[in-house]
Amino acid sequence: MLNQAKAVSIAERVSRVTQSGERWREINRLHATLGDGREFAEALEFLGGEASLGTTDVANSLAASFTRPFRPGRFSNGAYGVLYTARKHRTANKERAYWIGKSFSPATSESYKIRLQLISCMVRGHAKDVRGLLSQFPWLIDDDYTQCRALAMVAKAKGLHCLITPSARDRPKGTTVPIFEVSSVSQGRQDGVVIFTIHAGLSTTFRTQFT
Amino acid sequence: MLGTQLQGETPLPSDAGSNGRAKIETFPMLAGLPFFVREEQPAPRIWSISKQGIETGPNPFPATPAQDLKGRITGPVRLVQQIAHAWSLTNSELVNLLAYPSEGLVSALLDGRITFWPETDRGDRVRIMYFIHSTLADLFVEPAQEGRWIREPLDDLEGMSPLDCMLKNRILGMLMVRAFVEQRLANR
Repeated sequence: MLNQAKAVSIAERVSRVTQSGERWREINRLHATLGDGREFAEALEFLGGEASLGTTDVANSLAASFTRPFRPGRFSNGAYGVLYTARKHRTANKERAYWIGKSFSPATSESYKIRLQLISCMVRGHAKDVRGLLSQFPWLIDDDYTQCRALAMVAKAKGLHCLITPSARDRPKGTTVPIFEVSSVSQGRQDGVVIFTIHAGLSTTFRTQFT
Repeated sequence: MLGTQLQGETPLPSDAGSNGRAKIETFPMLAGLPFFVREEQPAPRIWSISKQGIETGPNPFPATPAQDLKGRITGPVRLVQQIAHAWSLTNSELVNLLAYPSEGLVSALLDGRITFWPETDRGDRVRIMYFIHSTLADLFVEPAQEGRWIREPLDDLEGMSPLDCMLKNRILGMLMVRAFVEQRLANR
């Protein structure tokens, strides 16, 4: 299938929605609740020191996708890391909204509000664009990931840095960019905050606040 | 619920020793386990610590000596209090989550009357629960929603709530919930 896809060189900014677990926020939380004294120091030591409290910046949080243990997903069974990004922030939001909505009880009567960060990075390298092959290979957006994972294995074996794929959650125009090589990622930055609202029995909605 | 209990100041034991020395007593039923009761004034509060010149040495907090942990509300215990407050845990739930044999011991722990030893299975439980809590605290716009979410059943946890999953499956359940929170909710 990959032989039928168009080969492209990619150099563009892509988006991702995440709560990166940055260290400074956790340290601030500990300071706010424990003060600056003995208890703060004890708690920090107990938790494993500052390094255990999260990443230092966006670049480090992006690199975390390529650090063991790898997370299984559409394009990996967990044997290697993939950084899931999208060409547009709206697509990244829709992809995240889908998963967040599944993480709450369907019986929930009151809505929940969740805050995540919109981040972006540059991706440079060799890719194949498989979007035009969707009608021929509908499994590209299927919830059974078997074929997508097999495709990713071939792509990695061919030395591709990423794929350009149709978004399963932002149809019909959304484009996702699963990245396989950490070396192709650079210039990470935070672009804003996204507030997701999870309603009982309804689609999850979101609102982006750009910084 | 622990909420109100955690806000209060730790009471002085009525029979505290007058000579200022600790009276340490091991629970007979916990022989061999690192629990102690210390009948003296509990931890000084933060404002009084600065008066003790803590920041004068090159490393004011080297490896915490055992004697220093006994019978006061230490940093790790403060983390337990935070978790209990955020999740509105009952004493009974906290007993199970921390694998204590009785509710009395949990009350004593939270009051600073028994020692919490960090390097134990119980320490691992607290660490995992704290990382779950800290991620959730970052995620939820309204802090009260964290306590609600932790008690609502989820399809992905086989119909159990995250709290039930932790209570039923113990450390494994805590790891499951942590993975769920960090991967599914936080998308790390």
